[in-house]
Amino acid sequence: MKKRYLFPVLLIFLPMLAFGLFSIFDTDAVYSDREKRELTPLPELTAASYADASFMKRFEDYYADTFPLRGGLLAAARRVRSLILLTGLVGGEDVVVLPSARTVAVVPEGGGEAEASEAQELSGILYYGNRLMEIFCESDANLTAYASVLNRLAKAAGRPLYVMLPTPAYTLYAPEGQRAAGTDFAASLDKLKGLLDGPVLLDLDTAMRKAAADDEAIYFRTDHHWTARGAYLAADALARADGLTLPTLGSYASGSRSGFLGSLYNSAAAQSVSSKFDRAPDTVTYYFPQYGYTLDSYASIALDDAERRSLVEPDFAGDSNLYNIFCGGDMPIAHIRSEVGNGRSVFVIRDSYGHALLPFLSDLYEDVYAVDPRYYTADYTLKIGAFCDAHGIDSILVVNYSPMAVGGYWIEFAPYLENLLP
Amino acid sequence: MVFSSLTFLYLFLPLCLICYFASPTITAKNVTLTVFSLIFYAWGEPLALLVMLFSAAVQYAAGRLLASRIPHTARRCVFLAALCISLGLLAVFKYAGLLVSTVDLLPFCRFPVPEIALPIGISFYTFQCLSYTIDVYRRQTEAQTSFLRFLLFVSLFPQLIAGPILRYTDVASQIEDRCHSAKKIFYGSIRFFCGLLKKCAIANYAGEAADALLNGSSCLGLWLGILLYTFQIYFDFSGYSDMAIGLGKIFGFDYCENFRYPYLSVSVTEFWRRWHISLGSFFRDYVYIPLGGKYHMQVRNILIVWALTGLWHGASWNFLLWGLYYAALLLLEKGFLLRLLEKLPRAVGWCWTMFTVLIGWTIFYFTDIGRCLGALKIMFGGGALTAAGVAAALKTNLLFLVLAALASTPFAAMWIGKGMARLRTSDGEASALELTLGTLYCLASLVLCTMLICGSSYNPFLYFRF
Repeated sequence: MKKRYLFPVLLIFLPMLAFGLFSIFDTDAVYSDREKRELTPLPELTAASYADASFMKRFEDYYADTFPLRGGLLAAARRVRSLILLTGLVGGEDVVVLPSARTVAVVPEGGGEAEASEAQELSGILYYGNRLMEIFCESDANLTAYASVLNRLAKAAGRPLYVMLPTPAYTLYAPEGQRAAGTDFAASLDKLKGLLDGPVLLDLDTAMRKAAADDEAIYFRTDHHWTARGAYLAADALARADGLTLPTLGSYASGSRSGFLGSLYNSAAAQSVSSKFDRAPDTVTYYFPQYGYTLDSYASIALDDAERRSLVEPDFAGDSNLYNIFCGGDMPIAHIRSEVGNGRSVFVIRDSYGHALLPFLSDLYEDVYAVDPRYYTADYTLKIGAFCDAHGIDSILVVNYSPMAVGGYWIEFAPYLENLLP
Repeated sequence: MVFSSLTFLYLFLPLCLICYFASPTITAKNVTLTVFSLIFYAWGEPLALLVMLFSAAVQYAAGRLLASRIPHTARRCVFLAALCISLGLLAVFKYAGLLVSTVDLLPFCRFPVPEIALPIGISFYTFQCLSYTIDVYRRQTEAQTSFLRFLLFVSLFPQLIAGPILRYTDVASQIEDRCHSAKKIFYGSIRFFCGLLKKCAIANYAGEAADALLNGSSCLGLWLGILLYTFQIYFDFSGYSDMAIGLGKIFGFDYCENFRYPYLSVSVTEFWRRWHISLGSFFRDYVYIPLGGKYHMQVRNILIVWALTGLWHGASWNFLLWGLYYAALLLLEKGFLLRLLEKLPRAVGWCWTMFTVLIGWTIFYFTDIGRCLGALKIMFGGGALTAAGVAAALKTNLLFLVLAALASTPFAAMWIGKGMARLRTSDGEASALELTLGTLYCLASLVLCTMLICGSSYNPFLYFRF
């Protein structure tokens, strides 16, 4: 071998070898702050995991997740892409569809196991107008399943049941041409209204469209949740429907925390567009309830394991998800005792959209029971009728992320609601 | 395993190189390379390895029988049996689902559609095996007596899963004995990193951007999307070929070129002489010419070859349509158009070629024929002219498109090559500057591709399943 070529060859391959060895013997990270997720652990090698190649796939994920200097490499990759794609030079009009890892599922006609949907092609996250939003695509089958379970819940509860379906950010902000045919939230609401027999679908759509048109911040730009301002619009709609009055938003004491990079940012963190949000993250504005209250969070339906919390925790530091300023994050069951003094009570069936809503509900109802059916387990035997009777509930509210209920993305929420039926 | 993965770059390749160059003899080197090739293949689909080993064993045994002194009729039977087994495996694993689902379209036919996982690279290694068996049958080459060497020919990991399709006659002598040198490794490395850069820096991004636009439904959006896809498929596939050729060189092999700047072509005929050359020459030598070539029923022969070329690319009817589309274009050019294009300025021929290629990639991209026709209708004015975001997408991707267009021409490579040639020593060896620049290029590409691979969790090669 000619020596003049040997040295360059060694210079090329020795760093690969050295880095490879280092990657084996260094200490593996287990959590990524930037992505807000557990990193893939070293998979266990078994005959089965080898035969079906799942070991190799998991190992590739593990190796990529724990590669030395990965955080710096990700940031550098974004910078390079921004440079090439001129993303720093163009304004807020660029549109990027980012692939999403979400599972697309639709209940087949006649019920049964959810199956993959054609809507998969429409799944993903859209970047447009300096905002990330999850692409929404409604599904008739999921909508029908959702309506059916709501009807049965209302019947089982024997009380007024209100349904809140926030208009998705995609409907409000995506450019007309980007929205695929068949993605029409207003039509979904009309269909749902026609299918409901008993439950009352609150009109959030009008107020949310107006607020979006007026450029009010009702959704975060980097997160799939609504803001407190968006939740206020929903609470106001409920108050009107249930014969109550909510104080004006201007009368609330408020505060804010900046530096929030939400779930959609996490999904897009490897993409060049995410660098825009590094420079301009979201701000979480919160409003303190006007009446005194206590908030107890329970894991058990016996309500005997109370953990005292606050509806608004401005100094929340549990993790970097600042949406958890509201209520401190998830609670399987919560009970708010408010000093509003009107004797009214509400049972809220909700997902994380309820976090930002509960502070306003405490100004409407003396007793607010909130249950998150995603925490259903075999021991979690809460049934709606018995619970409402036991706690003297006046009204019921169902609120959740709309794509979970009527979108072609998940069918998680309707089965969760089924668990509350007798 | 894919080349553009951290596992390959930082674990598999260094370990393979150490073991390979530590092996003292050519036999030991062949054993090492075969073992690593089998590990490479089994890493993705362990059970599919059995299919490849079976296919290799059958063709090896057929080769030995064909080379032995057996009666002509028996020889013919062995040959046909070997072809049937090889093509049968391809038919079962690749086309059974398509055939059954098509039969199910007939009234009263309701057969369950088999869900058979397609072994990676089966189309590539099946064709390599076929070329060997046919050449031995035609007595154009000697049969390989060592199964190890034959298995190395079939399973060589640099080209195993995405080509180029090797001819046994091209590498037979190299398997027996080949030259290793630091010079070959150096230039092989440059070629490898060139391919890696094409894949990671250009093809992957072009693919993301194309998918986003091709989901839309406006005329300009679809044209821009298909233009990006045109770059994606070229840089993806030619990048893989570059990596294969570079790795081959590192291990002492000289593979044939698979792409010669196809987007510079001034006719469709020329395009197919520059695109996926190893596949084109396979069909020319083993299908077109045996059918009679241009001397006997040329139209039929072209239709058959291009129908097969289309179906080779995928088990879906749009690929057949794509193949027949090119058959029609080639017949048109052979009829009169080529002569006409030769009389016109080259720019006219280039515009004609790129236009037809873009339409071809549209048929290729949309595997659902209904969606494909819908997209073509919109592209030719049957829908909205533009949509929100399309102008911004063009603006965002403008620099990328210019760079990709430049990278698909030989100008930069020629310019650098000429510069380096001037600096070479009198005995034609690389100068210190060339060595330094080459090394820096490889290291910079490695860092950049590592960054980009880290940033992308889903990174399949387009040609994986072909």
